[in-house]
Amino acid sequence: MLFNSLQFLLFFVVVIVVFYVLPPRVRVWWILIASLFFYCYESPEKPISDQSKYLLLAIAVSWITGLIMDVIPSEGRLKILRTALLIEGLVTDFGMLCYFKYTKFIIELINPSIVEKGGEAISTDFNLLMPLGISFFIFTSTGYLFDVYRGKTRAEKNPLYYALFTCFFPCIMSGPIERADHLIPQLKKLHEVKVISADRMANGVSLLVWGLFAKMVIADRIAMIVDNVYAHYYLYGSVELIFASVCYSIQIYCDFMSYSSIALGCAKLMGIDVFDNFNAPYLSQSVQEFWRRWHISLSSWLKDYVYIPLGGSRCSKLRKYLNVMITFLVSGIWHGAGLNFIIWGGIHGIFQVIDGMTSPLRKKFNELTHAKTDSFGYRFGRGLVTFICVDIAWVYFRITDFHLANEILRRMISKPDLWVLFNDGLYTLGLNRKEFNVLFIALIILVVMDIARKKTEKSVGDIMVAQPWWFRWAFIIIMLFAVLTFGIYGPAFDAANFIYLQF
Amino acid sequence: MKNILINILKSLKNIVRLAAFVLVVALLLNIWIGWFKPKGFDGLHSMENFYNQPENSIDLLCVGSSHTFIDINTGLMWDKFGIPSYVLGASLQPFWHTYYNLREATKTQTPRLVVLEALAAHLTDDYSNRGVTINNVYGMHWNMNKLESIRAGVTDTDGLLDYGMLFEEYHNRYAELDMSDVASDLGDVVKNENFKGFYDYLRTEHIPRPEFDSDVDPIPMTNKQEYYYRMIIEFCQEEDIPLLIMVSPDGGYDNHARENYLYAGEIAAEYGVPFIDFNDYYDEIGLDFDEDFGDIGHLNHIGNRKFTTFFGNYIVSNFDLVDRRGDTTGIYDSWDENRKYLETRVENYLLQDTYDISDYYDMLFDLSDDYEVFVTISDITYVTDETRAYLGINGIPCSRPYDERRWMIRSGITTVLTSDDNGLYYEEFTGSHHLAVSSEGLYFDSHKRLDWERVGVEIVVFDRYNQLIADNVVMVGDEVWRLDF
Repeated sequence: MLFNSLQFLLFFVVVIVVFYVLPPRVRVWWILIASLFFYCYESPEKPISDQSKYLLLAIAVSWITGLIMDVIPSEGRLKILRTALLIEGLVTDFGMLCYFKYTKFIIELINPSIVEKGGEAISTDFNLLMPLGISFFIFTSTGYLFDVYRGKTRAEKNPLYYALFTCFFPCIMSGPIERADHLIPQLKKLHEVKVISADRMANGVSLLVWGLFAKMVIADRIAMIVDNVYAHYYLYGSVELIFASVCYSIQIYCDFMSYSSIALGCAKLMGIDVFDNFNAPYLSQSVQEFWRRWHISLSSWLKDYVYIPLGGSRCSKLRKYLNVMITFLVSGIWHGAGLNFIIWGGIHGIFQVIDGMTSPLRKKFNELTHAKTDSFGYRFGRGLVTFICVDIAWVYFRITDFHLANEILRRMISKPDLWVLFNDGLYTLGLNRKEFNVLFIALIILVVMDIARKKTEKSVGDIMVAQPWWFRWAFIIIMLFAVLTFGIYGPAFDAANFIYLQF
Repeated sequence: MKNILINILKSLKNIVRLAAFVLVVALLLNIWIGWFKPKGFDGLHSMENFYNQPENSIDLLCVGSSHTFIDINTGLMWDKFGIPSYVLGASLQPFWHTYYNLREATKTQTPRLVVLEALAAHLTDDYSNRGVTINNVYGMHWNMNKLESIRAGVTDTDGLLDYGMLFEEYHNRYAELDMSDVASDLGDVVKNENFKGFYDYLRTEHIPRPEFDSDVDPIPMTNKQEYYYRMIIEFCQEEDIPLLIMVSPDGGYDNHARENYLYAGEIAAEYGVPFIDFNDYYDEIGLDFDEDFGDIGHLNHIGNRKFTTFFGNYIVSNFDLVDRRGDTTGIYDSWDENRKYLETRVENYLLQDTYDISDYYDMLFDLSDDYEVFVTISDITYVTDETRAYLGINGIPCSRPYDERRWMIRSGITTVLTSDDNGLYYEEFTGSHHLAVSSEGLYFDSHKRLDWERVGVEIVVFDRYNQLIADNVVMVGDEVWRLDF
């Protein structure tokens, strides 16, 4: 059930109406039922999908492991048992993740060596149907196990609260990756949520319509350019390819941000705050800052459970850079079983290492040249360089074939065709002039919203709540009708599924 | 106590706010739907305008595929037989959509005869494709018939949801939106009660006369079509509405089609319902396959008149239908308008299809009072004697060179147009339309502008009844040059 589908709309309307009609104490169970239905229901003929059992297994293993771990003292001789339990939980969770996500990839990697040694290649002619959102719910439950192990949070005794924490329907498919100490206390207070709160309603609905706008008006529209140009890259020169790569950067941002925004909105309407996953990432001044603004829940997960346990930055510079590289390679691997994702993660790691290594030099240079580092021009330049770096990395993310990605980057430099900017050539890339106009206006709205978000460091919903009532109304109505009128439906609808659902 | 009161007031305030917001969105959505809903004569207008018909005014209701709305001329049916008829048809309409259309129609009408056109007996698909669903369903008001009609045509719940919400089709229209979508009624006949579901097919295609054997064996239609076919018959019998099932003349008719129609005829006979296949009566109807078809399947403006005359005579002879032409209650006035609308459409088409200068002048000066003809002469170098003669008889002298001059012919009266200081020769506001003739060109509303070519004799024909420019030509020598309009 996609967030931008009519099925979800109907599902959510029913969920929210029943949520407020039911006695407050029952709400949490209703949300659990709704979440399980959201994830497990497949069709009238097959009410419970095959993938459901893996979710239930992850929930059961993490909950029991957490409970046992919690009663074992964290100091003394029994600590090893605690560690063993953590490892058991992680092996089960990550084992499941690896099995579904990386089996084929690993076989494909080792097959050449086997063949080289005269052996018979292992067949990859099998189909492992990866449970939807597995990367997200596995990270949610492993994060919980880490927290319990470290004593940061107590194990949740009530299995139903824990189950809901893991499978909360707005977050299960594509995040945000929640933390137990953030979400579970809110679930326990669901009965206190006021039935009618104008601010909360405005906040939630604003997030919902903004998410739909970003997905259906921008991401799915701009995808037509990206898909066309990358599919026929050999027909295009520098300008078109650079333009397509910029379009992809916008597409993936709007696509993923929209999902998070809708998730935030849905949760908000039920009185729950989940992590905001994005905050104007393309307005970042460095790749490091980009990662503080992009997929925030994953970045902070990797920081807390990979980077810091490796030693973080409180170690030698060399070690720190190694930690950065490892963290970003993990990030790449998490995104998918493909060399392109590992390369993409590696590129981001390298950018940050270079950034760290050249930082003193740049400071020195700025001092010598009396650079006005607070000026708009300086900040714009930094922002532009950051965007270019991120944009180059996205090429490897989008193109699964490493050599092809290199070829596309090579063509971006070696096939100058500036005249395309002036001969209406851009209108032949997948969107006609009218569609371009719609896209252009939508992008202006996106930029304005991102600037507002960066300035206020607030979510779209919170920004709207701070506005007068007529402004909120106008915003919601304009977004709603923009989605109805300019949203991409029909054949393109399926093709432009939420990109992050595959992870 | 005070706190409780404050809380209640706060809650009330929030409820009022929420209700007001929902109301505003609903109002805007209603406007939006009016603008964006798909519009077209194929099924959509006929169902939408059906709701505008005076209650219990329709004596003859024809339901079925495109053959109904292209072959059965409602204007002629009124003009010749005095039968107020309506066609509820859409292309490739399966019987399940026909069934729910019929149920919907009989909510407000009690026809003296329902004619079911049986093309669906020859259809093989058990589900409606997107276009068929849209044409057959979008025009209907929201009610159980609409939902059931959608449900019957789709394969799964997803389809029901997609079509049920419909907005996928709506939003795709933003790039083609124009004034006619925004203004609810710009005098366009197809948007009011004068439209009766019939639309002349204004083109001619020479087709071969169909060849088929009369004595083929019946072959069943699909189970689903048969189920709804029987439902239609049983519904009419339950409602005590006389039913005639017929097959319209079809250039694509062959043995396979006949096999299915014979089967449909057998079922009709089982229920005691009359069934007639007009493909057995080509000669009696007088159909000329070189002139009377618009395409392989459908009659054109000539053929439908022949067929409607034959068909009208048949139903008048065999069913209890009343000539309503003398009725003074006014509820049948719209059929007069419908006749006029259809006649003007054909008249416009014939004008636009004429390239012989003599024929053109003959038609031009024989136009009804519903037309205004604007004539501009700026250069008589290329004006032939024939043109001079035609124009001279009608009060437009062009015997000597002179400055650019303009005339308007209306109801047989020729008026010389003179310009004001702004170069405006003529201006007319009709309903929501604006027509202006200036020294630069002719303007119709804000979107239509015909600049003068300043060659020979320029003629613009304005159809006042349909509120549109019917033709725009330049007479150069003995040729008719047709311009864009």
